[in-house]
Amino acid sequence: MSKLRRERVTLADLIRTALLGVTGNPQRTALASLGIALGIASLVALTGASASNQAALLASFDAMGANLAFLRPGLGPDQQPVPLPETAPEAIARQDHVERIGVLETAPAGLSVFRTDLVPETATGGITIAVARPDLLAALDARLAVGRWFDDATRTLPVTVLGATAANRLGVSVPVDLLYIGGQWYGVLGILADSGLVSDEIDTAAILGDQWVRSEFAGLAGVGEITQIFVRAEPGTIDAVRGVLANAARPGSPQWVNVGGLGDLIAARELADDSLATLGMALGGIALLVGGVGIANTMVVAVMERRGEIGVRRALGARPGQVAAQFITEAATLSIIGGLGGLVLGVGAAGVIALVAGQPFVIPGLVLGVGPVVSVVIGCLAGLQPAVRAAHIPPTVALRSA
Amino acid sequence: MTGMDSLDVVPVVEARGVSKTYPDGGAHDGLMVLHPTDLVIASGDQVAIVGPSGSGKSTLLTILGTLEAPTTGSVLVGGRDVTTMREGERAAVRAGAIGFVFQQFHLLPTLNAIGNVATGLLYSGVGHAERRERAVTALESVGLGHRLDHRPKQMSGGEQQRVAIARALVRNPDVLFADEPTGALDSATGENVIELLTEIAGRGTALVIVTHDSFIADQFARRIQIRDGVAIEEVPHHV
Repeated sequence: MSKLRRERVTLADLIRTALLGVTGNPQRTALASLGIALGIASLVALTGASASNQAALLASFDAMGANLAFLRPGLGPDQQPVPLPETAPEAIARQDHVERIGVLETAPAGLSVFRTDLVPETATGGITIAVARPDLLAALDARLAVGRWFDDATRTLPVTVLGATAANRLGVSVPVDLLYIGGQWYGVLGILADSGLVSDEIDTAAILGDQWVRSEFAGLAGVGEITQIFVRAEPGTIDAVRGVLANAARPGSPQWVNVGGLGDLIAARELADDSLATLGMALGGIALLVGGVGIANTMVVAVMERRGEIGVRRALGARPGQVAAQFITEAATLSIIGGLGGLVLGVGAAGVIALVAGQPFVIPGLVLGVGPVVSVVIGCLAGLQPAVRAAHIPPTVALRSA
Repeated sequence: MTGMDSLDVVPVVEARGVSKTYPDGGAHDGLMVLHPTDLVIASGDQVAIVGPSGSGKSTLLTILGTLEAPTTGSVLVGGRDVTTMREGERAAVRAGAIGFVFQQFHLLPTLNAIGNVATGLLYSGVGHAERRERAVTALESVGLGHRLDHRPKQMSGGEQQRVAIARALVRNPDVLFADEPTGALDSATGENVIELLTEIAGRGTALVIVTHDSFIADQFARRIQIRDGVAIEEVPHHV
């Protein structure tokens, strides 16, 4: 008989049939893709939430100084400190991964800070003098409790900004007082907030403007020389940045530059980074497993409830493989819909979590790419077994369950 | 007219000693629902299989229609033994030569009338556009030219059964199997469906119908009585 030919169902027909299966019953499609979407959403939301947590914690490590390096004059051949070159700040600022820098200049020797001119010269209260360029505040991520920081005008005036401890010891809380420094009255421009680990030396200092010091104390030893440069690196790049600092500051003789950092803090940051990354992967893995089971379950139900249709198609001459192909194509279509929906849901959920927790919103790019792919792969794998099994049910049995 | 008198013509469907036994799970040999049966259906034959419910008539129909394998014996469609084929080849035989109409219509609920009928050609190697064209023609030929875009739920039982008939017809099968096609319909609608089926059979397609309604069976030239799994062809009494 001429009619016995095993006809192929074209890919276009396969996709058309799958799309009809998906669009023909919107409620079923919505429920099935919801199951998939929830799986992917939990994957994305959990990895996103843990990545946001990680970013928040690392940012606070950085604020404490984990991404901070500092340069000080090293000892020269004569065992005397060699001042940092005037060109160093600019050269360092040009290096890769350097976010910002701040410069301290040498304080004139012999200055003490007093509340009034009646206090004996020896009762310094442990308050030191620092001379800062305006960029220091940002480099240290320091904040002002009250008042203002130096700008281009005030750096030339007899005013001071007090560190938190210095202000406390002097009993100054509002920037209206005058202080008696080195035999001269200074206005209090502002008071720094307690800045934690970074700047103990700033906390106990009365800070003077660099240009005021240069003009007022011109000719005194060390005045105008750079005594310390703070370097704030981009998150996670501190090791690389530290490696290039000495050469950048003093090309040719980097051995005369002392580069330091908060070593324990850097180590703690790395530890936190590693352990949170592991936590994120573990959470993602669990979410993937749970989501995968959800997707698989959805697919099994979707195929089982359509045994009648399978019987009809078999009676119409569909080969088992063609029926299986149809259901796998449908599974893939549902997975794509659900995967994209889940991505949106998951990103939204992670965003809300980050917003509520006050954390930076981070979604690993890998998850964005992998999420939908994973959902399609799991969906197809999960759909494969029930589809193949259903396709091999004898047509009469399948029809009976219609 | 049984078709058996012209020996040089290959029968559309031929059953040789087919029987069906369902295992009963115990130590017995199982339950034999169909005793060994021989049957030849030639082109244009109109056959009614009658008998009380549970007598094995649907089993005979599904075996003849290749939907179910017999326990013993063989079924030949167009001269080819389908019982030794692999399932994929059997499916190709169904797609090429056999149409089905069921009591419960078995339309796909998510497709409209055209989609359901076009699905009848999906596995026969016909392109999308031609499938739809032929589906429209088939629907018009069963009087449903005005219901092309309706889904099964929007149609009456009689209309749904006519869509199912169009789906079976659209590929010009050699034989059409109808299992209680009027069972879910009122008698007037059922009458129309039978008229439609016999009219189609008049164009050369063999028609095998299972029914427990003797009034319907009386309209068929050949009648096969099944009782307790034993099939006996009645001698025609009005030739």
